[in-house]
Amino acid sequence: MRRFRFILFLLPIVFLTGCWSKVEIDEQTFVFGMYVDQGKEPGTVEVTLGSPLPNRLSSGQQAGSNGGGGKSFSMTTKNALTVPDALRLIEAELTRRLNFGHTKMIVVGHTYAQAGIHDLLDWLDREPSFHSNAFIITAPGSAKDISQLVPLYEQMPGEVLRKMVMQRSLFTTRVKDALISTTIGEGFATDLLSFNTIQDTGQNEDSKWVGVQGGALYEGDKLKGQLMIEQSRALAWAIGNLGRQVYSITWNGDKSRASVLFHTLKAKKDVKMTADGPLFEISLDATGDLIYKRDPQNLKDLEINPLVVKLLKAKIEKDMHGAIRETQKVEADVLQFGMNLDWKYPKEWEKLKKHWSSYYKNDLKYQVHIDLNVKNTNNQT
Amino acid sequence: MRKRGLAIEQIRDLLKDSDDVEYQEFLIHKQSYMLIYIPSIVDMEVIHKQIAYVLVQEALSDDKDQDLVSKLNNGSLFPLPNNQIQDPPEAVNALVEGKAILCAEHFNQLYLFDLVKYQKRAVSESQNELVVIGPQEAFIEDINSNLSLLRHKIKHPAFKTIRYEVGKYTKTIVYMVYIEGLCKPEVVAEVDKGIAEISIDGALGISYLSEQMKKGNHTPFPQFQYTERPDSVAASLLEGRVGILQDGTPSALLVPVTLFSLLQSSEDYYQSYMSASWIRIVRIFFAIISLILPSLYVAITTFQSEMIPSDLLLTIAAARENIPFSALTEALIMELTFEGLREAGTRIPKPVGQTVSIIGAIVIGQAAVQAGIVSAPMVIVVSVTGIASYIIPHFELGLAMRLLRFPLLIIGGTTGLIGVFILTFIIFGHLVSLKTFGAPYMQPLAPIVLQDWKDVFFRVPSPGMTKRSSSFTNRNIRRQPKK
Repeated sequence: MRRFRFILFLLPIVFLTGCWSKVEIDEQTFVFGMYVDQGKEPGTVEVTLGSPLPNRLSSGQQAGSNGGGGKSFSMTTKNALTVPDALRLIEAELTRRLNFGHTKMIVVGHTYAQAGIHDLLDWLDREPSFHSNAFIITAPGSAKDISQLVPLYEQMPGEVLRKMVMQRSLFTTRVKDALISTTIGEGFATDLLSFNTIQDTGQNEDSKWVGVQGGALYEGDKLKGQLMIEQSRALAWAIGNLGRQVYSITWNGDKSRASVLFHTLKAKKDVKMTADGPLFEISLDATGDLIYKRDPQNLKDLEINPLVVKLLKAKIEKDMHGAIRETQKVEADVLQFGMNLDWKYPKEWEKLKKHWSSYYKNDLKYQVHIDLNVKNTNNQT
Repeated sequence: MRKRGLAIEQIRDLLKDSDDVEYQEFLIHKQSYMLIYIPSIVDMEVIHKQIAYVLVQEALSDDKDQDLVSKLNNGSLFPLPNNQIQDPPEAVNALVEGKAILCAEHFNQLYLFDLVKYQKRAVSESQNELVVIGPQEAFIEDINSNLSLLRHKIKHPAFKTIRYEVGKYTKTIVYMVYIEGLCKPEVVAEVDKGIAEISIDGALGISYLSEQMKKGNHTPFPQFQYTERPDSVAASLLEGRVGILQDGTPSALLVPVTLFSLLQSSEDYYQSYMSASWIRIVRIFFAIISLILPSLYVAITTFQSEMIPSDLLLTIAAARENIPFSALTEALIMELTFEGLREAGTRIPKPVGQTVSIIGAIVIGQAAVQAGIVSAPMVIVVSVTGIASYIIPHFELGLAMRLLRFPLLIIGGTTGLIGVFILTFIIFGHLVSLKTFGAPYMQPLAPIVLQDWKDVFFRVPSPGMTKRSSSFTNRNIRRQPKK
């Protein structure tokens, strides 16, 4: 009996795993970044995979310092009908097995996104080794161009993008957010990159440099519109997870100005039932320090503080309204009001569900409450 | 008369070819006496001053009235305790144990003097269980000195010492020590039965006893705690445990044992409770590390590489590039080399001890990595594991961990994390089901006794520990009045 129990214990080892599932680290290619574009022929997809080359990072050296000379990462591109097809083609050319366990960044090309990223999301949903907390962002043109950027601080382009998103300066949309939104048929927003060239220190040729120019609005799985940076900021704040932000305002005919660094930004969404349908409430809450002030009028601190708060509130409210108006235009329920309603008033949602897009566009009622707390108005070191 | 001669002859006969036996003859008032002893194991000074001298004085004295034998019998001749026996084989047995025999030849009387004095070293500092603060003395090979060290610490009539003799040829003295009223009587009875049942040729080290006593109980985990510190024994006795001392060995046995008692050092109680608690947590952490770190590393890098943070993965991948072996082989090579070096380091004579450390440092530390045979992270893993296994205060437990590391490593390298988890669970199940002398091995963790947690993962200050550990005793629980 004892022996039988012992064997029972060992049984799962045989069923669940075994030597055959063993892959040494040096037999794998770890995909760090994935860049998806529309293929050259219509209906096809072009996938570019960015992966590190560990043999160029010779051991003993800090990772990232170009050990063997040349780039320490590789980019492989293939055209195929579907994403898995393209991956298969890439894998066939590599000596190592692809591993998506470390893919943290997915860049979607503009035209591909406009056509709908359903294919990609479906594959991400099904690939077991893929981590659904990878970030997803939108390229202004082709995603492959983005992969050409020169990673000055980081090891490879994918890492540059990931660290940029992780600064939480704008949207931090993950694959799982996109999957949730498309599943319930609402919308989501991602960062929209900008692409330009700068003079690389130490190298003569111009280097490609990537920044963020605003937000990309998706309705379902299709890219529908864009947002300017200020409005994106407001929207990202309302979605939550926005990092430190500097807001500047001017008054007195641009003669006086002040900047506030908000370090704690919080957002809350709620829905209330009123006589004429649901009323959505967005509460934005922030605490920050006054970090810059130019005031020829020499107002007292006690006067400046309420003034700054009032002006900032007005500015943020304006951005917020602008942002929501943009999303209404493209019927992309980025803030997922629909889900809020479903959660709190399921019966009401059942009624509105069928024509939610048009309801969102035309009849949405919402309020924005802003609560700002500016401290250290007189902090000088 | 024939019978008298027979006694001495019989002794001579039994001691034939034992040339180190001394026969010293005295003629006192025309009667012949024989003093027999082995000079190397008796106290010669006492022989000279208290026996031979007295006999010579008696021979010189004119007092012929009183019979020497009656003086001997009423104990007025020698200032030493002596007892009388009849049986020559018994006398010979006593002789080889270090007693002197006075044989009054015209009477069939043999007198035994307990003058045993073996060669022994002085009580020295503890070599293997070092503490910074606290008593430094350690047991030595002489059991009387050891008892003296213990009696010095515990001065109470309830401190009991039960004497046994083990070994047909060695006749080793063994003492079971305990404090009456603190320990469980079942444990005392079990130990008593265990020692009494031992029938072997000789007991040269204390593990002769422990192995005989744990018959049929196969486990790599120690079921006895070895210590060479009198204060550890005293503290354990106060907790209600039973100690076993053996002549000729500087270590004592303590039973029952729990896993956590093996993770405690006597230093814990001498240092401040805060630092002791922290050190104890570190120790438990490293005990776990020493068991599973290499297998976790191998399993994660070959099966679950998604679990490694990306930056760390790159570093490991870069180091593993161009290594000809699989991670498992690499780990096995390194672990085996390390075990070899460790064993060599323990056995090597001190004057050449440097060689091993130099070669070890060069082979493991530098050359293997530079030659590209093993990767640098693996060297780090193996070294951390090596250090971790020395953090366990009780060597025997460290040995168990060292042993179990290899099956874990192999299963980790062939079946990944699932295998490591399953095997760890089996080991845990084994630990939970293990009992030594009636005490569950994992108490107070399994079964849970929250009261005892005051002295497991951390140590509360002494005034807070009002009750004795329930692992070892079930009576006289309170060790200080409730405040």
